[in-house]
Amino acid sequence: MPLLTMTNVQKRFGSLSVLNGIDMSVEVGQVVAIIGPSGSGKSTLLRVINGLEPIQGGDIVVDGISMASGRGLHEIRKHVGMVFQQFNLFSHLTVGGNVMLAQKLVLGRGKADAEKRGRELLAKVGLEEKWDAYPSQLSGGQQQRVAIARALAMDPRIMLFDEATSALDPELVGEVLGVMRSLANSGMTMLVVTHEMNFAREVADRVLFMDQGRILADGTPDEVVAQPKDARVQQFMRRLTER
Amino acid sequence: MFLDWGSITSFYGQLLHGAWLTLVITFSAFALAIAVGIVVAAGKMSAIAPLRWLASIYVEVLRNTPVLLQIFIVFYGLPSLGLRLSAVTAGILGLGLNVGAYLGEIFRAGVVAVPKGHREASAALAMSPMQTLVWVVAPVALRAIFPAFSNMFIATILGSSLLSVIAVPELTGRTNEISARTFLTIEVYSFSTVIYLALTLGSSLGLLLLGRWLFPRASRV
Repeated sequence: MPLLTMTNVQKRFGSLSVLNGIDMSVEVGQVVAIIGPSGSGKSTLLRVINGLEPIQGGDIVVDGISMASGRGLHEIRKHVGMVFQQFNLFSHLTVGGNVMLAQKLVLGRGKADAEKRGRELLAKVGLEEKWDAYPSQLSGGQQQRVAIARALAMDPRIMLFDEATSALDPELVGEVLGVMRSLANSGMTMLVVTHEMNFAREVADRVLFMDQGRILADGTPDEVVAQPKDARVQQFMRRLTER
Repeated sequence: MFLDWGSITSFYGQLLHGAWLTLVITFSAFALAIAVGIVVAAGKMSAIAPLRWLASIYVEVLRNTPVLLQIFIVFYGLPSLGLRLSAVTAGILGLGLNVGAYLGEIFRAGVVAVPKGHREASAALAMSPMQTLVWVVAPVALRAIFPAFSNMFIATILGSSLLSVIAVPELTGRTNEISARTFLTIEVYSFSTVIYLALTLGSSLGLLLLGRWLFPRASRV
C-alpha cells in the first residue's frame, strides 16, 4: 500500500483553481522532487498534505489515515513533518526548546526523553553544540538544519520540504542539501519542492513536473529532467539551462 | 518664603498609608484590566462579527471618554441600578475597565505581531490551536508588547490618583486632606511627589528587569 495517496484533490483560492484534480501516490522510502514554474501549485500540493490549506474536493490518505475522517487531520499531522522556506523556528525558544516543544505537547514525551531524541537529531544535522543558542544567533543554514531536526523529532513517516533552500545565501545551500541527501539515503520518504535541478537529478527517485495545478510529467529524473517528452516541460528545462 | 519641612514628619505615616492604598488599587485595577484586555482582544479577533463590533464599541467608548466620568458612572450611577459599591471597589472597577480597553488593543497588536510562520510551524507539528496559543503565540506576543504593557502599568499608578475625587484616601486623597488641614501645601505635595516618583520609577525598573529576565536579548526577533 502506498504511504501517501491523493485522489482527485481540488484546491481553490476564491475563484482561482490552484490544484485541478491531483491524483498520485508515493511509496515508502521514495524521494519525490516536485518542480515547475512559480504559481504552478507545487507549494500548495505540499501544504494540502498536512492540512495547512484545506481542500475543496477529493481525499488525501497518509499511512491509512484519511484526511476526511474525524481526527484525520491531527493524526496525519503527527505523521508528516514539514520544513519551510523561511525555517519558522520559534524565536522565543532555544534550539533545544524548539526540538522539544511538540515532542512534549503532542507526543507526551517526558523532558528527559524529548531531550535525548532532540540531541540525537541535532547531532545528526551537525548542530549538537547549539542546544542553548537562540535562532537569531544562528545562520540561515543552521536554522534550517534545526528546523529539519525539529520535524524529525516527531518521528514522521513522511517529510515535506517546501523550497527549503530558496531563502538561503548560496554558500549555505550545500549544508542543508547535504542533510536532505543523507536523510534520503537513510530511507525517509520525502516530497521536495525545489529549484535545485542537481538535487532533483541526483537524489530523487522520481520527479513530478507541475503546471497550472496539474501534474504534467511524472517519472524518473532521467525521463522528466534530462529527456522530457512533454513540450511544456521541454520549454521549462530549456529556460533553466539558458540562464 | 518659609517652608516648614519639620512639621510634615508627623504625617509620614498617613502618607505612606495612602501610598500603600495606591499600590493596592493599582495592582487590583491592573489585574482586572488584564482580564478585560484578554476578553477584548479575543473579541476583536473573533470570527463572529457581532463580537468584533461589541469589542470595538467597548474600546472606542472607554478610550474616548474621560476616565473620571467612567469612575463617576460606576460610583454614582450603579447604585441607582441597585449596585452599591464602596468607593475603593468602585474606583478599582472604573479604572480597571478603562485600562482594560487600552490593554485589549495592546494584546491584539501583540498577537498580530507574531510571525505567521510560527503558527504554521505549530500546526505542522500537530500542536492544537490552544497549545499554539499558550506555548507559542502568547509568549512571542507578550515579548513584543512588553514595553507598552509596562507603560500601562505606570499609567495605572498615575490614574489611581483620580480616585481621590470620590474620597478614596489613596496617596493623592491623603495629600489633599492633610494639606487642607495643615496648610503645609508645598511641603506635603512635594513629599507626595517624591513618593509617586519612587513608585513609578521603582515599577519601571522592576518591569525592565522582569522583561530582561523573561526575554533574554537573543530571544527577541
